[in-house]
Amino acid sequence: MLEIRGLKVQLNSAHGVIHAVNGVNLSLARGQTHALVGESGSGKSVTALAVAGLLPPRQTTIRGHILLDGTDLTMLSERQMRRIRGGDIAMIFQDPSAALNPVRRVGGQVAEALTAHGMSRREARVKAHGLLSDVGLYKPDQLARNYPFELSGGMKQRVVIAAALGPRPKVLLADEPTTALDATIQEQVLRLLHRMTVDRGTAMLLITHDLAVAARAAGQVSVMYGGTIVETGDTAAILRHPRHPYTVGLLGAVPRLSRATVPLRGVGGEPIDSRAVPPGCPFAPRCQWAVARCWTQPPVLTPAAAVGDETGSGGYPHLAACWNQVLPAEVTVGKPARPGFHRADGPAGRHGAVSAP
Amino acid sequence: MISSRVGEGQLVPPHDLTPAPTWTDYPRKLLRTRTGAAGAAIVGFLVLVAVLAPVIAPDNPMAVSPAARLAAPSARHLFGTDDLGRDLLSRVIYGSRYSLAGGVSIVLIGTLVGLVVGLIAGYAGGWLDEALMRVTDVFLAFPSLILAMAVAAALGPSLVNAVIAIGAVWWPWYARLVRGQTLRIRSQPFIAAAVVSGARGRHIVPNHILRNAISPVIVQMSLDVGYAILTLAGLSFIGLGAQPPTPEWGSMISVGRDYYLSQWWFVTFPGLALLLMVTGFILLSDGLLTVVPSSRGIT
Amino acid sequence: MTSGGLLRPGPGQEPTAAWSPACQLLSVRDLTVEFRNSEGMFGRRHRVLRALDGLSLDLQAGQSIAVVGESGSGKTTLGRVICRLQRITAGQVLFRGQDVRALRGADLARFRRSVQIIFQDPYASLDPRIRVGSIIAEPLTVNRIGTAVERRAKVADLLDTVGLPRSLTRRFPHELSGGQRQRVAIARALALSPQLIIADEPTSALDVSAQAQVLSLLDSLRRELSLSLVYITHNLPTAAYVADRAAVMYLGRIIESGPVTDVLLSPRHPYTVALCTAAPTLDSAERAVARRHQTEARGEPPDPASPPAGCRFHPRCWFRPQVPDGARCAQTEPETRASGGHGAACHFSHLLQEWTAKPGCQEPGRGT
Repeated sequence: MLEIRGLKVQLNSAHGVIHAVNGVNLSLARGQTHALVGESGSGKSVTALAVAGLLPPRQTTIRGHILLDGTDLTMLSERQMRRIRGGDIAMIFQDPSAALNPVRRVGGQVAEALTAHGMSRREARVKAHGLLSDVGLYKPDQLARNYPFELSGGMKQRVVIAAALGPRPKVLLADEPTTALDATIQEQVLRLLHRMTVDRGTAMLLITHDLAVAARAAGQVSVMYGGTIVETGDTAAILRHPRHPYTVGLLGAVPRLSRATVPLRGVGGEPIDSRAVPPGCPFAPRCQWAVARCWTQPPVLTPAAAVGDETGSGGYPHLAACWNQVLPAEVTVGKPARPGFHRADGPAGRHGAVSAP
Repeated sequence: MISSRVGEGQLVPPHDLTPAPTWTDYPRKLLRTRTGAAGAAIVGFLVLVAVLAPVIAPDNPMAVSPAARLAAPSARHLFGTDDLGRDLLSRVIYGSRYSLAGGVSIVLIGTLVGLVVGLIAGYAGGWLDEALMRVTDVFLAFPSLILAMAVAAALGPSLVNAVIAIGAVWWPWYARLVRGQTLRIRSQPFIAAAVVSGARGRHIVPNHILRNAISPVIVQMSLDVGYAILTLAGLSFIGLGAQPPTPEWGSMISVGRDYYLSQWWFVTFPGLALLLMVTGFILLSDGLLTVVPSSRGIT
Repeated sequence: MTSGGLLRPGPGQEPTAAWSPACQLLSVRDLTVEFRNSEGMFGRRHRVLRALDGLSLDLQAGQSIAVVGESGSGKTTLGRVICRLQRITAGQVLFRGQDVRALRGADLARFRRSVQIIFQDPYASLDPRIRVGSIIAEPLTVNRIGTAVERRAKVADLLDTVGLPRSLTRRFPHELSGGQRQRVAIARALALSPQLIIADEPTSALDVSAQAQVLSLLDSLRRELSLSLVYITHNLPTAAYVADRAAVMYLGRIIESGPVTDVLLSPRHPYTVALCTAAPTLDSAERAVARRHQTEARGEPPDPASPPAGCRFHPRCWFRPQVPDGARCAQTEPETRASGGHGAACHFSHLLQEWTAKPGCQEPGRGT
């Protein structure tokens, strides 16, 4: 449904050219959730903004193709993009307060999202109440009359989700939708997003810096660093057998309830300066497995080295961009996760076996 | 969470590795904007004129010459002469000094008083804040020109007194502005961190609050110089400011009022000079508004 | 004294007057903090918000405690009260035996040097107009400690301690990444060699990898410098990395506390269970998903200004349908039942312990 091919985004700021995205390939099918994981400066948000066409045209150079059901979004004019935005492509952000108009009641704002894409006002109002109830808000009729400031963070985010998914978009871009929420609410919102996208067949591109969020919400993951995708594949495969040192580092950085023997180790060093991307692998300066080749030649995405017990199940191919792909024996940051989980996702249903712990 | 979210027309790299804009950066950035460059050029030119007045003025501005009174502009007197035969060009050139000095002094007085009031009110809070703000409100409620006239009349008409009078009605706006900034800054965690380290107001106000509050104040100052100059000329116009024979533009226009139908140059040239100076400052401040990032809330 | 003495079993021992290392470093007794909002014309109507409601807490020197809670739990207010940034409505906060509220003059100055704080927002906690070197040196400057040369040396030392290059001294905060800024804030907090550091959600605004770095740093610092840490967070799993004990807060009260591993792996309060299962982990197994669904806190967080009657958690409690006398939860506030230094304020805590002990309800990570 959504296909990104060779996307390159350059931002021309007053302080030099920033190569925010350096060749990204991604594809998203109906009802699927694909997580784009990376730290700040990795280019993940910029990728989403490029899909939504929200980058300032004068300061941005976009190369490559973004295909939505065959239509290349990079070729469209602003007016055409405006019709698609909100209708076929919806976007939600980290801070729900920023997306809601503080002086309008929330019911009206959800209805507005519907009328903007061709629904009568009366119909939209009724539908809005239905949506508010769909997203799990209690007493939607009453709540529709509230102003945003009267709602908690989680409730606001649900309103934003209602407004975004109301017009039944084909693609939902979710940029850190749960980062600002409490842990218990985070879980509820992630589940809500999963349910609604599966019900409506919406493809979701979930952007997050937290691999754990990706693990529980997405069927496919692409890990980004320095503007490129360094590893991609089914979530289960990546969590079980990460191949890129950065992914390994990210996994090691997720805190666990039973810390017992495993110290928390993240990725050493600082996030990359997107203005000064070094030749070769962007991760080389921070990589403990780097070899000479890593510094001079930028790695390409190649199929992950297969390992003994890895079930070569179908689904998304597991690719890693590394000259020195990490093999399980070398991963000393502790077991990434318990083996044998898969996530039922999309119309394809389950794939792979669930082995006992 | 740091996200490279991009707003309309605004680009923020994920973490900004640009060196902090120091004061030396602003002049360069300013000169790159059209209005800033134009304003700077005009103001610069006028400042030069004021400084070099004794050198470039063709005649003594005070030299009376009854024979040549009310002479039209000619090669001898480029701007003509006034009712006492004095060379108008020289008077206009010297007049730039009074307007510049006067305008800047007014704004400086206003800013200094406003800073003190605003910082104290904003940082201390409580009844002190209330009291100071009510006083400020009273001043703001008065039409400033009338108030300035009253003060000037009470002090006695002279240029210095006019400057003091106008400064006295200028400060409330700064007090409000500074107080608003102080309140905003005070709620930031870095102030709390300073408090926890043992810092008292004595340390926090000048080192943290003032430093963060000052840039909108500077922009406001530049905006105001033009209006201050105009107000000063206005007071002189009605006789409460500069007194003859001081070649201040406002008073020159006032005298020339009686002659403007036939001796048009008498009113026109001082008027044009005033226009030029005020415009220069407005353009300059417009440039500053675009360049200085934290100049929200300036009207 | 290693009993922890966290939960006050009842009115009992009073602290000794003179402070000695054997006493509590920090002792909070029945702390209540109210905020009043006046509404209506002339402020006649008042809304009272009780951020902290009769909270009690003890901390030994060199010990660290994680205060865990979500928004509205009052955890940030607690942190601010301890470092004297927030006024107390009722109750006492004793630092080294001295009432914090009554400190003046030299005592106050000494207190300020002993208790420091790190804030959540790494951007706003550093003055944007001051260079990093001056920021870190500020506590020394304010307290007139050392000469300029000595201060510079100390700043360099501190940068080394937190793992930042010395060249950052000349930079401004916005030139640093979030993780670096937070480490600058830690360096600043260490400048006066305090005994107690309050870390108010120090990693919530950071990326997962920066978070790991900062947490490791805090952990190594507290061990090497024998610092006491009050680590405030909403992210429960991180508590195990930096604290010996954990206290879970809900609506201004501590509803569970004890040794951190006990609280995390054998929680005794339904809210703690909900937090444990909601915590972001890498476990997406079907069982884990089902357990999350089963133990999640229902509905929305309540309004702190009008807390529910009886047990504050009861409207959202997932365990309540499974207990024999659910009405009790709505009527009476539960007492804290403690055993072995680990206690929870729940009427049916013992039933919950049985439930969590069942094999099908294993927490993720148990047995890993």
